[in-house]
Amino acid sequence: MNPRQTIGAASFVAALTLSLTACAGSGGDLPGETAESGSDATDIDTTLTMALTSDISTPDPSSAYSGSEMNVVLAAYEGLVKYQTGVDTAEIVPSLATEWEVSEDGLTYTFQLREGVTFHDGTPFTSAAVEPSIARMLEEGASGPAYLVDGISSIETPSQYELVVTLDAPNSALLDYLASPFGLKIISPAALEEHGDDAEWFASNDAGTGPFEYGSFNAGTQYELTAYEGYWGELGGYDTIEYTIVDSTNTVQLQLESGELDGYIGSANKILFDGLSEVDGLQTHLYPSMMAPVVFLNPASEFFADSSTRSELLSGIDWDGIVTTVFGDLATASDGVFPASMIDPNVNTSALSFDEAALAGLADGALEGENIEIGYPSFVPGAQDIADNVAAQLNTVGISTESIGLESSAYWSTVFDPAVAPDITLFSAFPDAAHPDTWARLFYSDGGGLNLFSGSIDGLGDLLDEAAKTGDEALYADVTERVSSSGLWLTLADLTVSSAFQDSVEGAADASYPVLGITVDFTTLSPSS
Amino acid sequence: MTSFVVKRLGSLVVVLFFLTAIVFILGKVGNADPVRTYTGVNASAEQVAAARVELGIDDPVSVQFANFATGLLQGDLGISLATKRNISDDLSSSLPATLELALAAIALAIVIGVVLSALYTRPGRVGQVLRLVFFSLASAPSFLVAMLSVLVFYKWLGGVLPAAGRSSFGPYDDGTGFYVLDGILHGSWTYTWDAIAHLLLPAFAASVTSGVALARVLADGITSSMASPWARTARSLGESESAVLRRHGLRNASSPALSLLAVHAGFMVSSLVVVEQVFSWNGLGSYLSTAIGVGDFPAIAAVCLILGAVYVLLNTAVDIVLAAVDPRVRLS
Repeated sequence: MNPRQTIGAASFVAALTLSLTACAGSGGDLPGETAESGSDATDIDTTLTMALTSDISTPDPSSAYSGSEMNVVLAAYEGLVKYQTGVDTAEIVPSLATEWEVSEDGLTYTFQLREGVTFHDGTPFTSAAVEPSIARMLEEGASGPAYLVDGISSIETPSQYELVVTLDAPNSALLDYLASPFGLKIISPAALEEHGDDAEWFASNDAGTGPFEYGSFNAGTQYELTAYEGYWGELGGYDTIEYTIVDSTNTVQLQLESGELDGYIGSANKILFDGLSEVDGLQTHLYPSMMAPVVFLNPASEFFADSSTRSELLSGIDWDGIVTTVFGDLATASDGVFPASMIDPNVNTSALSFDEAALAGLADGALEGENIEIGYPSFVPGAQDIADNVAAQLNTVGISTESIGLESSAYWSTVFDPAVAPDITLFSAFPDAAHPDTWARLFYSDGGGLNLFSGSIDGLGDLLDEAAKTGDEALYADVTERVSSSGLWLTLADLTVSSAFQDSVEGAADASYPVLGITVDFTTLSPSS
Repeated sequence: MTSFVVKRLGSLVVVLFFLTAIVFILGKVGNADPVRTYTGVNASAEQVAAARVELGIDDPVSVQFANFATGLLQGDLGISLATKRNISDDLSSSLPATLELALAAIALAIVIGVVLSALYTRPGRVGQVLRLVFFSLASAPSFLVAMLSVLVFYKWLGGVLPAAGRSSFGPYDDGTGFYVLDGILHGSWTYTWDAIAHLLLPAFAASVTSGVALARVLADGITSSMASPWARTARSLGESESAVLRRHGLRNASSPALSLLAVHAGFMVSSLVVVEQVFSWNGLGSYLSTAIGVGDFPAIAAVCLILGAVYVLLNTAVDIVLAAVDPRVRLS
């Protein structure tokens, strides 16, 4: 090939490349082509394209329990009550129930149900739909959210629009359980009769009452929601919500800058958020959430069997400085043991306070010549930075410390095994609901899902039972005192969830539900006209 | 030929059996605990224990392997712990995605190899510049080439080529999973061009190293072939230079090049793990990467089996092609 031929070949390749995007060749059909596809350029785009940076698990309303898939589930299904969007503190508001009353003994809840609601399959919503929905959740969600309805002993339906729920025992968290993003979703009885046992059907089809229906799902690539015209409430301004999986946050940033994406709701990624905040044409928001990183000290470790050593170590670390360094504006250092927006700050004040001299005392005392190991979950945003900063502070005063990252499967097999568990670990999580009982049971109680080193405080279980039964928030002051003075756990910060939308998306500032922060009510969004 | 293919298919069964056993043993020896992936991290100790029973994770290893192998023979790859979908359903979209990208990358590697080898044997100014560019790219890791190409063609050139995904339109309901082919079958040039546009950058990132290596082997082969006595004989019999190159030089140089391509094709599939992630290409690489991170053993095993099968079949195909183009090679 001579130079002329080479130039010719290169020109051909370049021309081909350019023509690929420029070419609008006609003929043939396109997938999902509709009459609206041909609308003229002056029409407002009513498709909202959002990015997810990892694939979702199956959006089954009875068993979904991870997080990301709730974006899809909450758009298509509704429960009896829900949390208000756009507020810092969780507030329970009507959804399919319009009013409710609680009996004096706390055992009976009477709900008045919304009339004129239909499921997406056309079945009218009545009180008869609730019991089979609970039954399916108990069955399909046994290894997940089923406990949120497990305390219900009976359901009565005095009329089509009145529901009486009776509990085994009083539980002040019940309404929160029902409002939880993972809580009970009401499913069409007709669909349950036909597909109730078929989890595969519920993985790609929906039978809820929500504002959107499941559209085309291409696993690992794209999930589409389409507006349900028969919805009982306001639909908002978007006909279609399109979730596209974009593995790389760098690509998310580029696609937001180019306008290819309309929005992205991420986790506590400071670098990404700072980058997006500087882009013209984008609006960025920090959504409140109850996500918080918690530090765990291992009582089975030879160094931390003694609570005074644990408390000294936790008091000696400059946690506020670490929070500022790692999260910047995306988080606020915590004062208590519960997420700040979950409970009255007066009952959520940690017994620990920063003592600059504490670490030096440990370096010359209990931890002299010892090697501390911090095992952090490398899959949790910010975990490595936190672990490295803690290690740096300990090493600075002469306490030899090493931080080790663990992938998901290795992490879970390590932290629950006393023979190999590290001395210190940390984990970020959100509670299942906005009630303090859900947080305390998750982290601090025996058998709690995220009580990673199985720390135990005598009598705490009874105290939590009493607090949940009576709803007396003052009892949580005692919980706070016992948990913080044990030195077993330290709640590090209250995290926000960062989001970015095109300026053309209206309503984004107040769209988020408060517990997870990553889920939004799409009916609050609309394209600017 | 038939006995050769039958033998290779027989060896494929043996390879896959041992591959399955090794992956399975590694999964168990690694002491990974994938249950939280299945239940969600907030699940209580009681819920986790229930899930372990449901998934059979606490069964003896021999029982687990027997269950897995039995399912495999029945075509049941099991449920992914991460997606909770049937693995065979997950793979029905990710396998064609990876095969389409791999085929495009191999084709592009051949184009790069042939063009660069021509420039290598007949250097000029343009050739020197192109060689420099390609050799620089080949020396960079594939993820860097991928990110650089996104910056150039998506950001700096105003989105002339897409940065992520396989199509702007999604798949056809009745599609094969090979988007370019689907576009052609549906007679939609818009869809076809769009699918090719989405293929170009990831295929380039995956192929550039192999293309340059191929060019060097081809160029060396052509240079020595064209200087051989039989080439001189051909010239003396009046054949033109291009005819000597086409009929004799290229044919003799193609054997080592094809062997190299077979080896590189295997490596290329590995490099796709990274390339697919950069371009959000929903293929086996992305699927495997996610599965490894969370210890989703059934998904890992399924992908390893497929990659092992692809590798064996690819090498078998290359051996057959090699025998076809070089009469000195016999299939045995």
